[in-house]
Amino acid sequence: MPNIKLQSSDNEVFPVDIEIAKCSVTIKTMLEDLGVDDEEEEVVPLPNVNSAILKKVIQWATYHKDDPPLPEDDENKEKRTDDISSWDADFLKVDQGTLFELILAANYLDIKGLLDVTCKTVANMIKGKSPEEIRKTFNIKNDFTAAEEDQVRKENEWCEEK
Amino acid sequence: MPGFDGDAFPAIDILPDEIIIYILKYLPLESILACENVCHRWRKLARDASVWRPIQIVYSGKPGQSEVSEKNLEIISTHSEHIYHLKIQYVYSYPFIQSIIDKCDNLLSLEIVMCRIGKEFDDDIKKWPHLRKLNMKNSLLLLSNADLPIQYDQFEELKYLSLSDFGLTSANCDSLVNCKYLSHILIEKIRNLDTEFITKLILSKQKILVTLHIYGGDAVNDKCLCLLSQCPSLKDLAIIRCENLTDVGLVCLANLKRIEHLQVWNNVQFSEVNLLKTLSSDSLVKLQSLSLSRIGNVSPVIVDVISEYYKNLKFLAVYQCPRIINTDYEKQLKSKFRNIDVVLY
Repeated sequence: MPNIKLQSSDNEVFPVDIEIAKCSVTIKTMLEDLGVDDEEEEVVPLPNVNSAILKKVIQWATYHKDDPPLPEDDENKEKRTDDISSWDADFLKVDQGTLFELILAANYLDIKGLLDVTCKTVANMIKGKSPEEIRKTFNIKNDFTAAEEDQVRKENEWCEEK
Repeated sequence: MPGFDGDAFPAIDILPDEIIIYILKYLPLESILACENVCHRWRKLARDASVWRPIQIVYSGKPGQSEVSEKNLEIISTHSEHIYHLKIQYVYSYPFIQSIIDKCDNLLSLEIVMCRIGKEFDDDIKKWPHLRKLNMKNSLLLLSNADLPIQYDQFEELKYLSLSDFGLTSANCDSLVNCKYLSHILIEKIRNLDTEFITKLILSKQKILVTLHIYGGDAVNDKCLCLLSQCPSLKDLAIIRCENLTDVGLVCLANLKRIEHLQVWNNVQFSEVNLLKTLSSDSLVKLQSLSLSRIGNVSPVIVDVISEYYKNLKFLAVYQCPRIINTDYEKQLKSKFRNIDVVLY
């Protein structure tokens, strides 16, 4: 099967089956625009993705190469987050930094399946948590002033009483 | 490293706004409300229109649902400009309904079901010219001798309309014909419509019609069925009173290539032969629900065909079909359809 070479931001080159690489709409479009020549092995530079993340992305794409195309998003349908496959769940047992970098890579490479599953994973980390717990989980600084905090508390009194 | 709280990995802050919004769209309402209070940036993003657009807020006046409803009422007050889909049910005071809907300026869909609606609704509703869905199913109109002549074509984007036994008269039925995008029409409680109007309605929606629930009676004749059979997108058809229909109309149903739900009630004119032929057609065997209540010639042979060939069927009603009601057929029937709901009596 013909390969192409993907080059990470730190200049590592990964030979990848062309059909697997094409699950990235960005790469697919790039190849179409360039008009790939089968004889010659192309090197596609990906300046936004480092080698550790690119390796993960290729691993994901290889496992999912035979997946059927995703259905169109329906705005009115409630989106589920409990349908992550056990392989994906295992694959995404990574530190937060890696998870966010995978999201950025999936977004840049335009791989909807990977973007969805990584974003669902983050959503699951938010579900059921209070604002303070969310801040703690993601190490977010509370930048509300004392007055704003008071306002929030007032608005949410009904939320806390159980 | 200065500025770092000892964490080496990139924080969630590296994600651009559109990705945070994408994540927020996976969250239930209570989590979105929690996210609003995390920090300034998240507050702005959690109030983005695209996050709120799919969310429906329900207020129910039913006892036992009051806790959730009180919370939702509070959300309507604090987030009125973000409410796009509102459903109110079991509220019998129209002034109270008004006090809720008055706050919401940006509604795209409004459902007021099992409620009492006042005459002023006609005026109140002018507030939302972009309404796409209007549902008044099973609500009552106060002052039962009055009607509610809403001009539906004031909502240029209206796609879904479900009415109770009021809301459509000769004074405003033309406005329904003029709704360019109306593809779901549920008016089965409205009687006294005439054939000319129904013909005009079907013709005006032929390309887009997906759902039609209609009373039938004298107004729906074989020609209407023939016109309906030329609606390529029709998925859900219900005709409550079919007395006037004959085999000529019945056989047309076989042309409905995309039909998923079919409900035809009250007819003694359909012959067993043509029922069998139509119900065995390639399009109808794909049905997910079928209701043939009070159809005179539904016989055990027809039920056999349904049990054998209808692979997608999840619901079947053969309520009071005389040819299968009198036998000890019930037990057999239940054993034929193990995995679906069957309504017999």
